[in-house]
Amino acid sequence: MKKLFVDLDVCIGCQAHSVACNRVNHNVLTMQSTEIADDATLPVVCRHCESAACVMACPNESMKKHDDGIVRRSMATCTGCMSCTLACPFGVLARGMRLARHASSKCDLCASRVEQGLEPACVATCPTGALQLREVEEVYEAKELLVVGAHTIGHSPYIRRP
Amino acid sequence: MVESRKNICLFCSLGCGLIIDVERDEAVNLEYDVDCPANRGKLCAKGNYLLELINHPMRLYVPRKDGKPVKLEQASAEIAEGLRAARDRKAAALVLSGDASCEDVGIALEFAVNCMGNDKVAISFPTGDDAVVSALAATSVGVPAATLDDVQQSVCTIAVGDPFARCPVIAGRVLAARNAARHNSLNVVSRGGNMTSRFASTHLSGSERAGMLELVAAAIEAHGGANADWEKALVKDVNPGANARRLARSFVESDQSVVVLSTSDPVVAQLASALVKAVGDTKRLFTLHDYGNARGITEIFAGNASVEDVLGSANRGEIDIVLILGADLVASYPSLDVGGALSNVKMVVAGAPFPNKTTGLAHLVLPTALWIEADGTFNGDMRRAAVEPPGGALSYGDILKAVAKAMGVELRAQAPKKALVAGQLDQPTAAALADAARVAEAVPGIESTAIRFADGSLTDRVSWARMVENVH
Repeated sequence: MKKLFVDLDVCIGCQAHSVACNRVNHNVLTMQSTEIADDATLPVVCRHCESAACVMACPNESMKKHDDGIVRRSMATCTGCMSCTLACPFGVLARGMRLARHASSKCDLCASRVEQGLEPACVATCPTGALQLREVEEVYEAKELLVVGAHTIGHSPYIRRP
Repeated sequence: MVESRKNICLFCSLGCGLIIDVERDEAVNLEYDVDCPANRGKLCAKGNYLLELINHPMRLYVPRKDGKPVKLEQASAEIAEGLRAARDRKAAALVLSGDASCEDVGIALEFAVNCMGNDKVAISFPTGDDAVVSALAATSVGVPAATLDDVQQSVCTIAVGDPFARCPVIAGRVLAARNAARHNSLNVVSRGGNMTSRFASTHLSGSERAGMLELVAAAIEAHGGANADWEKALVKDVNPGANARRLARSFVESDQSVVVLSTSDPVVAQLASALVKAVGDTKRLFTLHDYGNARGITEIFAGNASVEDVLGSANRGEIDIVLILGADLVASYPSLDVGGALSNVKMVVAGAPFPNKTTGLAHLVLPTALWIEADGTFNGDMRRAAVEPPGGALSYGDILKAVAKAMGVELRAQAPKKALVAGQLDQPTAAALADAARVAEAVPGIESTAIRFADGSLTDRVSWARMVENVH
């Protein structure tokens, strides 16, 4: 399955992905940035976890892991109770997320763009190519890449060059 | 029927390509233009924000007088009346934003002669792009310009200022060059830490001027010592530090090196020119400006007046009517008392695409088109408008033509009167440059960042988030 990765060696923290995400999702921000230092900002990306806490926490079953591996939120049944926000261990859904049309904001890897053969907006716009949509196995097996925290937190989206 | 129209972003001078999808004369989507060689589909936050700007709910649609909507004809007639009254006293002034096209600047010069009776036209470049363009032109002989491919193939890159903040898209090329081989390096000369310096192998922090002077002196030394007169003038009494010497040696010895210049200080710009010229060979200079058409405008516009001149005249009560088109002077010049100066003017006319602090002080507010909604020559390329401007919004040139028509004058764009002349870095210039470099640079009042436009008026992250809140 393809997931989002952030190449820390070239991420400059420009926040273009936030604006692109906001724009493509009609002013619903599904992907944010976090400041880890005064001058360092990183994208916070959804891991689409194997055993997703947000899915388990959702009382209305509107958050589901689909066969393609992507965790999606159904706009029709989401009541905006924010249980998923509390459950997400990575703070992806939590960081300053506002309720958008009474539903929580959730990255679906730009399903509508991918259907048209386009890349997710954050990947397409990333000025330095730091955000990448790549096969998980390929990244984990690549010798020239180091997955930061790979052995401690399951899937980590942050990669470096050793 | 959705039509995809290619256009470019002018929020900095890189000129990134983008595609605007237009349906029934309305911009409905922005797409990434992967075929554009400048950016290969990539866009920074400012470029991504363009669609939001075009369709923004706060856009101005009709001219307003003291807050009440009026027709364009009535607004033009009132401005015409004000200009007629002020013409004899030569008490009219025009301030045009730095995002104007070359044609609009030509029309403004013609307008000044025929309708204002003076030549008091100022172009607002709050981040000092015009001074940097002129300074670079004055020392450009023997300084080869780098292409984007040069930047990507550079072995030893020296970034002056904070190019990553001004133009995140160039960061992709710079970092690709740095990561291409283990001995490749990215080095930064800047005031303190910034977005670019986080990636620096060597960082000469402190004063940009002092850092560049040290670097130039060390490079001249590493390249066989000062032979030419201008080189001797620059190295005189300069004692470069160990970091500057190491960096200069690496710069001189590298096969291909590029200086990426992103500064608002003309002295630093000329020192960067001197650095490239001193070493010669395969060294190149790549320059970034905040305004896409800074070079085009500076080439045409010989500089009749500056914004400071206009505000100074206003303070002395010498101006009865001022037309401010596109520029948010209050936000752009925080160190000047713009409000106080404008309060001495009988009639303030402000044109802007959005309400801003300057339109708040104006008696008459005119809606203007964004550059993406107007035809014109930017960066040496003639561009067609991607979409029509909304409601009664007009380009700067069309507003001036409407006012001129109300005065019974027909305007045509003036041909450039004075082109920038390429100059040589000679001994007197170098001596003056060395003296200037010893004076600490002034900290600019306003700087563009990855998420804030050059005039500081609209899109910092906070106001962006607030605007999104307002949409819902």
